[in-house]
Order: sequence, then structure tokens, then C-alpha cells
Amino acid sequence: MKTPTFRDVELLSAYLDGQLSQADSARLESRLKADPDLRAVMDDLSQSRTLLRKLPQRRAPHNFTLTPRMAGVKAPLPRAVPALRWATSLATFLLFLSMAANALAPSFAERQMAYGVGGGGGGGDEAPMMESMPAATEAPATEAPAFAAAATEAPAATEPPNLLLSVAPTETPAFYNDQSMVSPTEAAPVPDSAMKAMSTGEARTVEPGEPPAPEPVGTPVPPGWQIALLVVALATGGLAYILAELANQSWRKKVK
Amino acid sequence: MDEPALIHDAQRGSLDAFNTLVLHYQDTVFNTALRILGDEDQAADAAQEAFISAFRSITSFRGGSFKAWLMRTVTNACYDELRRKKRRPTTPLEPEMDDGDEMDSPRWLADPNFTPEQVAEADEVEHAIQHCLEALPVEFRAVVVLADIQGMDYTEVAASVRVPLGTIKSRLARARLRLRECLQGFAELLPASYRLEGENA
Repeated sequence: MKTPTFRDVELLSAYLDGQLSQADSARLESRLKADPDLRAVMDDLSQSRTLLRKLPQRRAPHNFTLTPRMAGVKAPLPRAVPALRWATSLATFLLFLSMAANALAPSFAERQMAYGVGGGGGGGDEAPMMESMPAATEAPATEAPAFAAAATEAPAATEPPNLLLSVAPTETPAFYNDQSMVSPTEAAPVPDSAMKAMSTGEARTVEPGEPPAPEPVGTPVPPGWQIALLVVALATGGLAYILAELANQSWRKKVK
Repeated sequence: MDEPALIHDAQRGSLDAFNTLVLHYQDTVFNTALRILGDEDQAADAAQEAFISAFRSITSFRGGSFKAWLMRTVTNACYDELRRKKRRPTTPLEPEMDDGDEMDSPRWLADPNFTPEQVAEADEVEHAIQHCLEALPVEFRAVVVLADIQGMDYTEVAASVRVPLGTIKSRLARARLRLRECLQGFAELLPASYRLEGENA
């Protein structure tokens, strides 16, 4: 006879639940007959088990059935809604694409002029202009590197035109009329085209003496198309929203 | 109740089918949560969470014991609740006597069909057992609640708490031993019908 080990306790617990094989059960039963300590442990375990099984089962305080909202179930949407949402997305995407295309088109045209027609900016084609405005024509405003080069070549001459173009169009800078502030070459009258550019506030620099600006490049997507896309996007989006809301409302009434 | 058909329909999104299962199992789920947590309100919250979670993941049920699968959901909900409780400890809402002392046997738990003596007796036993259950480590508590209070077999308990069968046997033996030691402290409080001495399995 020896003090029961934890292994004995495990065997006894499994024996109470009928979890031992026949051979193990028979072996344990013969030990139980011979060992009162082991029998005492089994009684203890059995009593604990009995007490637990006697605990009253309580009723649920309320029903735990789920509402559609708790379950995260959504109202079934009409078939048209996904199609309308898809149309909204497509129209919006096309609208932004057309806006981007229209915004980028003028700069493409300018690049074509600068690199394609103008032969790389500040190249030989500009020689005639240099005769009338040599310093100014050396610095095409659209090309920063070329401007920097011009600035180092003739800082006094290149600065004023840029300053002129950066100020508000309604203001006439004092130094513009101050002949003493500018070099003799700049004292030449500013051509009308340059003044017009300044008065409209365009960021694009129009150099004095430059030939008349080319005709504005036509936008790839006409405004009419853009308006149509906007209308389609708003109409399909609005319709999808209304249909979804109506479906939600009727569904909520139904599940209440 | 055609349980497999209801489970199948619930897996296809039928809330009505799932709610039929809820009505069938809600007492079992609530009692399990109550014995693990020891608090009615928390047990109700855990049971509700368990059913919500069960509906959302019912497609993951691949056959076997639905009860064991549901018990796994409720034990997980109880573990979450206990973690929350640990982070934000609250004062238990126990009814108080006129002098401010807490009542040992809350009257709201009383069954109206019992005589006052029986109510007092049952309350004391239940109180003592619940006290001893709460003294167990939570993983032991879950095993003993599922095996001894819900009467599940070892395989179902193993599936519910996701531990090997050998571990279930070991935990159950240890839990029963500890409960016995703890309940011996209440021996004088226990009424004659609940006395441990002389009982058989």
C-alpha cells in the first residue's frame, strides 16, 4: 500500500468517466479492493463529480436569437444597383481621364514647339530674335536650365522680364518705367503680345519681341463630352443610392 | 429538430434556421458561460457574442459535433470576457443588506417553486461550488464545466477547447481533486442532501 500518485488520480478520474480500457479497469478495480487510500481518493473524486452534476441548469435570461443587424445581414439590393454603381465608377474614371488629357495637352504642344519646331530651345532658330532682344531670348522661361544659363550670361538683362511677368497684371512695377534701372537693351518698348500676356496673368512667359503666340492647342476631349460624363456619373450614382435606400427601408420594415 | 438540415440552411445564410439552433442551445451556452465566468450579465454577453460569432463563422463548421463546435465558440467568448475583466476590473453588482454587507445568496437567483429552506440550501451549495470553480485556473475550469456540468464526453471536450485527449484527462483529474479540496472547506455549510460523505458516483 502506498500513497496514490497523480497518475493514480488520472486513472481514477478516467475510470469514473468510463474512459479506461477493460484491462485497465480490471487492474484498477483489483487495486481499489486492496488499497483503502486509493479508494478514498476515488470517493473524493466521485463526490466532486456528483456535486458538479447536481448543479441546477439555469435558463437563459432572454432569447439569444440574432436580428439581421446583429448577424450583419444586409438588405438584398435590386439587380440594377451594382450595374449603376459600375456605370458611376466608369463615368467618373473617364471624366478624370479626360480632364487629365486636357490639362496635359497644352504642355505637350509646348514641348513639341520647344524641342521639335524650336530645335531644342535657345538654338539657332532663335538667332533672329536675338538681334532685337539678345539677352531675353537666351532665356526661354519654360526651360529652367536654359534660364539659368542665360542668367549667368546676362543677369541684368534677364531678371527684369521675369519679375515683370511674376507680378500682378494690374500693377505696373515702378522699375519697369524707371529707365535707369534697366539696361539699354531692355528700354525697347515691350511688344503688345507680351503686355497682353501679362494683363491676362498667364504664367507662360511671352518674351518681348517674340512672334505672336501660336493658336491655342485644341483640347483632346471636348467640354461637351466632359459635361456628359459628369451628368452620367451623377445620375447613375444618385439612382443607385436612391434604389439602395429604398431597398433598405422596405427590408427594415420587413424584418422588424 | 433536424439539426443537420438547420446547420446546412444556416451555412447558406438562413438566419431563421440559425435562430432555431440558438433556441435549442441557448440554455447550454448560457450555463457554460455562467459557470466559467461566475456572473450572469457577463455570461449573457458572452453567450450573445458566441452566437453572433458562430453565425459569422458557421461556414467553417465541417461536420462532427455541432455542440462541441458551439462550445468552442462560447469558451473563446468567455476567455475574451475574462481578459476584458482583467483589463477593466469592476465592482460586482451584489445585493446588499441594510447594514451594507453583501448578501451571500442573492434572492434574484431563487426559483419560485422551491420552499425558502430549499432555496437557501440550493443557493449555498451553488455558491460554494461556483466559488470553488472560480478558484480554478480558467483552462481547468473550462474542462470541468464542459465534462461535468454539461456532461460532454472527452472527445467533445477536446474538440471544444482544442487540446489533446491526454491533456483533457489530466486537467479533469486535477480540477476534480482541487474542487474536492476546496469544497471540504464548505462541508459544514452544505446541507445534508448535499453532504459529500457516503455518496457514490
